[in-house]
Amino acid sequence: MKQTSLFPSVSRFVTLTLIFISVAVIATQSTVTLMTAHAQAVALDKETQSVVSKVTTELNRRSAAIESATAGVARSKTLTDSQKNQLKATLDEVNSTNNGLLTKIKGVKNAAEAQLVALEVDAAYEKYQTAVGQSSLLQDSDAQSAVKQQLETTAANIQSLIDEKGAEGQDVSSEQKQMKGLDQLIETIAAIIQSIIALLLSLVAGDIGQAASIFKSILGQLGLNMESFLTVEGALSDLVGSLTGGISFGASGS
Amino acid sequence: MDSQQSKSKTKLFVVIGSLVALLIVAGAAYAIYLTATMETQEQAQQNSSETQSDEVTVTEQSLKQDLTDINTSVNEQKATHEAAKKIVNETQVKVAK
Repeated sequence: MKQTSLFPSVSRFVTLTLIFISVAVIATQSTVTLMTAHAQAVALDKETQSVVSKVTTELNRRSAAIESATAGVARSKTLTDSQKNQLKATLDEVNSTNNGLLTKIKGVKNAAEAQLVALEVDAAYEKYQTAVGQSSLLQDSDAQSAVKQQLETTAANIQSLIDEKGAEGQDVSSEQKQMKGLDQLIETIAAIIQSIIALLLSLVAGDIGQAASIFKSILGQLGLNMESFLTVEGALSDLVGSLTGGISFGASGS
Repeated sequence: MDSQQSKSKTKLFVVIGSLVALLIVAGAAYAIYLTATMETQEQAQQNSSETQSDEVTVTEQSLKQDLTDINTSVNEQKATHEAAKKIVNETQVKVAK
């Protein structure tokens, strides 16, 4: 006669029951999670998805600009380490605000929250724009300083050539006169660049509201400097051509 | 008397001898100074003419390169200026409704 024990049956029953309960709990939990996510997605889709998308795009754009500005400041040849640190601190602060806003927009749960973050992003624009604008203009000034230095060196070399030709008895009065004018123009450009750099650096802790109009004036002046560079470059090329009896170099390629 | 005259003569010889010695030393020193100065001047003139010669040679040979380098830098600076212009002239696009 086959004997059966009651204990294994009870044990099997309890085990099966526990398995059913576990499966039921997990299934319920997953369903609730899915439903919540679905509910959020539906809410974002309907009311805030476009705001979240716009805000994220704008913040990512700002992040890229800040990164580029920070790299530009680090590459500067004319700024001192102290000035670079000052500018970097401003850019770091703006970057920190930007990152904070990115975290906030990722965590929004409803339209009202998204809208609040969007308003913060709009309000942070001025400070961001000032920091990045200041840095870009300093990079522009830095590049102009480099050109100015090259013009000075070349002008000095051409002056040596004028002196040599003069010592040989050649009439270089016209070239000398032209060279004097060019030296003065280079000096003027140098002074303007120095003033611009000083002005830009003074804005570090300055009036952000005024910065935009000051930036536009500086940009205009840097544009005029650029035109002067082309004038000087062309004139130096002509002078070299005149002194060596050859053709002019360089300027036409710009 | 003779002894006193002899002492005076000795003193005179010593003084004259000292003066002559001083003159010889001073003359020698001056001669050395003149020689040294002339050498320095000659050296300076030589160096100057060598430098002038070098400068002129370098200037003539490198001017074309100088102008080419300027042209490259001007073009790079133009690009930097355009980037700055884009940033400064940027207008805010508001993201809030």
